[in-house]
Amino acid sequence: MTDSNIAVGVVLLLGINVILAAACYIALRTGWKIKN
Amino acid sequence: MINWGGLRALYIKEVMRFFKVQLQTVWAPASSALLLLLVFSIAFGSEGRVVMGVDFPSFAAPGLIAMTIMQAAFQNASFSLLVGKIQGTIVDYLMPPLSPGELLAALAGAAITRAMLVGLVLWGAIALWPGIRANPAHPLAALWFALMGAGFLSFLGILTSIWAEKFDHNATIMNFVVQPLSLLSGTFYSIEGLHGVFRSISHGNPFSTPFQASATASLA
Repeated sequence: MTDSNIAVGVVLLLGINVILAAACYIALRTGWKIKN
Repeated sequence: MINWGGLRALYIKEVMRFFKVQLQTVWAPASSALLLLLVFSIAFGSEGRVVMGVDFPSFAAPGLIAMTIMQAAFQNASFSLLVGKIQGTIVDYLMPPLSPGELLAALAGAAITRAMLVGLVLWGAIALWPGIRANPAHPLAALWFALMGAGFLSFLGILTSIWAEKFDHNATIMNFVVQPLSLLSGTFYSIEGLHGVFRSISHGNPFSTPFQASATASLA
């Protein structure tokens, strides 16, 4: 009755979070669109 | 060296920002989600419809909680810097001695806090719902997916608020990216029940991971 694998979901979501957090970090550090 | 005092101050400021209007930011999304569950339960539940081996309301509840958590996280995060840009108070974020990492942690932390509060209210209300199994089969996995789902949309929201120049930009991402992806991610149906290409597309939808995984963690 499962329609997704929990272990795959745990790792996949962690990966998505790490990538997006890195993108946010780089954007904030370079001041893209917020520091003119 | 981490500026814990500054990080804490910004986190508290960001939490106060949504908590001051908690009716709109915490209770309203939970109430809307409950209405959705009510409407769909009346529409499908009364026919005794079974999805993934459980009755329809018990199947939809975990996904609905995940969807509400993620949308709340996005809404909070996507307003943070944008409001500063529009009101000219962005210097309040940029001038204090906070590193980009500390700024990001405080903004994401507050958005995740709001999302988890909304999720908690909704979960509490669903627990009182007659006939729904509200206790997850794997509580730790369910908590992990809630936190990761909230984190995912918080970062996406922060990126949106960095990029957006007006509220319209922000609303565009909310209405044309976040809403469709979350509604089409299997909250109200099992992806395995889809055919061919739609099933493949749904598996490629990043939003479906938290929904499907929460459902699995809760029901398996």
